[in-house]
Amino acid sequence: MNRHSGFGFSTILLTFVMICMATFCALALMTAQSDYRLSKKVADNSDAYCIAERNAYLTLATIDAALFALYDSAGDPESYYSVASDKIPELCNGSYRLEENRHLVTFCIPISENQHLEVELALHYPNSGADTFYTINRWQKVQDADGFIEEPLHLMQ
Amino acid sequence: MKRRSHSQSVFLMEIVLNILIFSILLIICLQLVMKARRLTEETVMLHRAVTCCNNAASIYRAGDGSFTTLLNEYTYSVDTKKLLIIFLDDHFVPCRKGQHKYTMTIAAAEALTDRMDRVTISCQKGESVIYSMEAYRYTPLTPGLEGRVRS
Repeated sequence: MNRHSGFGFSTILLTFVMICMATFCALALMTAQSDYRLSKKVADNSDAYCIAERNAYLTLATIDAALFALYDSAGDPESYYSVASDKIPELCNGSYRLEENRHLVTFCIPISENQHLEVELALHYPNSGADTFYTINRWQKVQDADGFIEEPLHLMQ
Repeated sequence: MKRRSHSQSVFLMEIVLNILIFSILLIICLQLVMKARRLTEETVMLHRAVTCCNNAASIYRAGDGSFTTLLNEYTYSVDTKKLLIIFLDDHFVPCRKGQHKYTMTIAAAEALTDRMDRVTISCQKGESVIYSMEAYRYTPLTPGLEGRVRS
């Protein structure tokens, strides 16, 4: 009996150690991979935001050109705002509303599947040469409601 | 005596076999750990590069379209008119040339419209690009710029 006491013990011990090591390594690699994926996602998101920002600026350029033409043709602020309220929302696929005597135009630029850039402009009738045609009230990255739908954290991916 | 020697040789065989399997597994595990470490380093590098490029883009947007604001912020940078080179240490903090491990280059690109400036910002380690992005800056139109001021 004494003779067989060490037999098999080393195998059991080693199996336990190997399982621990393999688990540790697998977990370390999985964590590193998921961190890297997250960083890539952040980088992609940053790229997507830059593209959305470029598109928003291009839209602003179109609005600027339209407002400039309107400013040239319209004789007074009333007719300027009247035509702008019809024309500008069409140009930028946005909406127009009058709020406390402020002429607000809002448009959205998609960033990703569940994010968009929301821009709100307050239109002006320039009184001096240095005045712009609008003030940017809001330039905000907005998460769509769909993005919040109980999406689980993929811990084991 | 013969039985004892047989038992000892089986035990020895078991130990040898265990050591062999353990060695193989150890090699595999070490490779996995090394891969995890390399991935972690790449993750940290990418994350810091993205942050660094975004910071530079924000500074550029806040400026007047030239590299002046960037030059004020990154004092040890080198301006070659078309290209701004910023030297970064191993923590991606701006530093002097020679102490750097990474570089961030900001290159003026062709403007999309006459009021929309564009730069390409990229973070590099040696020759390899870690992250690259484009930043834009738009100057709103004013009636005065066109010389049609209305009283």
